[in-house]
Amino acid sequence: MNTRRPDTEQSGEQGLRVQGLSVRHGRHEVLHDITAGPFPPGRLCAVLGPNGSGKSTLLRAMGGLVPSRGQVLLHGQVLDGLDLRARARLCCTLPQTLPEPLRLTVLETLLAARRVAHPAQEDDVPAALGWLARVGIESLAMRPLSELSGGQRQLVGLAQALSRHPRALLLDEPLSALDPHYQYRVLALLREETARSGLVCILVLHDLNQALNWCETACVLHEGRVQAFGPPRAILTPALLHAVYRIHACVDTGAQGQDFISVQGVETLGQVPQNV
Amino acid sequence: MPNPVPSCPARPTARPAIVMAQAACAALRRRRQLVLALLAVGVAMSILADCAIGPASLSPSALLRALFTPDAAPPDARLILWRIRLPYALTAACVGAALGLAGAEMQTVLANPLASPFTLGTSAAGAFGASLSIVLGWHIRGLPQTWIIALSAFVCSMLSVWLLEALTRLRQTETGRVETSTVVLCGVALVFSFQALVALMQFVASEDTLQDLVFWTLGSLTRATWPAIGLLALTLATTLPFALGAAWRLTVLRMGEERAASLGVDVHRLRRAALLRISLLSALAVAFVGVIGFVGLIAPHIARGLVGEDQRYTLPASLLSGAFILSTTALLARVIVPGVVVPTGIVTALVGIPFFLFIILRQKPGA
Repeated sequence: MNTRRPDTEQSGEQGLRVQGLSVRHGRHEVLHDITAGPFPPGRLCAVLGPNGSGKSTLLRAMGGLVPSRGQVLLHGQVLDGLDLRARARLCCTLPQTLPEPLRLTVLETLLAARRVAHPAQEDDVPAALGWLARVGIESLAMRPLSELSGGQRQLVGLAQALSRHPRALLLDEPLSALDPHYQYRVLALLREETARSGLVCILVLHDLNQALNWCETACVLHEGRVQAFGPPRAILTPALLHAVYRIHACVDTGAQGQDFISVQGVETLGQVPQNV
Repeated sequence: MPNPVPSCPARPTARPAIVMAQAACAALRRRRQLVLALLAVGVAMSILADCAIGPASLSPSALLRALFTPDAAPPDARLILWRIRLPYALTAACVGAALGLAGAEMQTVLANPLASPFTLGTSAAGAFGASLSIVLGWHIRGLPQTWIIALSAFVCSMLSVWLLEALTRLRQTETGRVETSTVVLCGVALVFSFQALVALMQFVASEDTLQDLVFWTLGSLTRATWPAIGLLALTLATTLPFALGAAWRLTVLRMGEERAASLGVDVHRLRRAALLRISLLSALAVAFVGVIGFVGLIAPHIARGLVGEDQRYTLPASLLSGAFILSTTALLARVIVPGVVVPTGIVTALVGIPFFLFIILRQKPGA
């Protein structure tokens, strides 16, 4: 367990921290007393864990989208108690669901996301186009969402979140519908943007290799509890991979110097050939 | 840390691309404004046609004279226009506008293409409220009977939308999504419940009041009065600015409830305010002309087809489409059988059902 206990003095701390966060859905407690952080600014952070471990719920609770007990602090400021609009301005959550395929152009989608919180400004259109260009879909600006593929809509959602200039960006599986080119393009863009503007950027990821190579901090959830918190290379031990993912695996280093998860077997299925 | 791909270059958008996109945006805006203007002209034309056509024919010049210089016009033309045809035509336009606006907001806040005051029981609830106040003979000193009927219809309509919202919330998924079928099935339950209650009212009603009640269930514009038109217009004039004020939030809500919440929209508050406006509009429409179906269902679809999903344009376009549809069906209701005014509710249902089927068949399976 690398989870750090919260200090009594929070002021001056940089990054995002959650303290004693619990979320219930009806009678079922999805998150049990989560304490993790700080997720540092300027670096990508990953939330990892198997299906149903509470990753999405943790992100929603951080963003204030589900009722929760406990505290969320951003740069020492307590976010709980802020109204939804003020909180969304500081901390933008990108849901896993894609924008609905509407008869609304991509540009309008971005403008609408901005206009709900800010008054109209002269440079709204150039700014929105700039974000579309950085995500790589400027050519789609005047196309309606209803004509786009799932991956393209996911990119629109990402541009929407980035265009709001939040202090913290919480992305729930932002790469799930993207092809490899766009997956790495988005990761590179996020890393650059995070470093440039000192953003706190937390991504829910399923691909452990991406977490190893792109993120400096990871939080591993298992059955609604924090299993480990720290640099991915250090915490993704064979014991943890077995306990959480039920795979026999370890972190290996490739010829180019990149880290990857080498899987030797899956529990209940026995041995599997390497590099499956 | 090793980096498998080169970093994403920060590419500033080329100047011509910005100019082109701004021009495209401006063109889109102009197109939408033009569509709204054309719709408004269409509504005005259909109101004029409604005034001109009838058993006693008024020539266009006599019509315009009676309309703009009533004192100089012949008394019979003046009487026909101001006592009969104009109230009828304006009631049709106002009720259509109210239903169009209510339908557009309802489809957005319930995220359901089949939502409308008629399909989800709001109109039936209003009819029940109206019949309750008639059968029980409610009186409040100093308040005209029409207002009491309207008030009672409003209370019941609000109750029904609140009930619908509460029922559908029970089946909401973690991401805030409610299945289309859940909303529709709850709506159907409400329609049947309130129809049964209206039937019960008819059963216990006396001979005289029964005549009044039939009027509410069929939907007819023939009882149009100036105070009713005034109240409807006032309601439209007060609800439309609030609806337009929420236009950006409603547009974002169309992208999905969870997304809207993540962008800082208080979805519950937005929905409550919209449902209040919807019940006010549909209750007044029902209180004055009875249950008129399908206008509130069709108008938003036409509006979205014409101007897209930017609610700043969709809402007024739906309002104008509703006014145009009901205005033209009202005219149809008067000319379809010479000498007889068929209750408008019957005509809108006959015209609306094929469209209703079209919407259902166009839905993607499983959507």
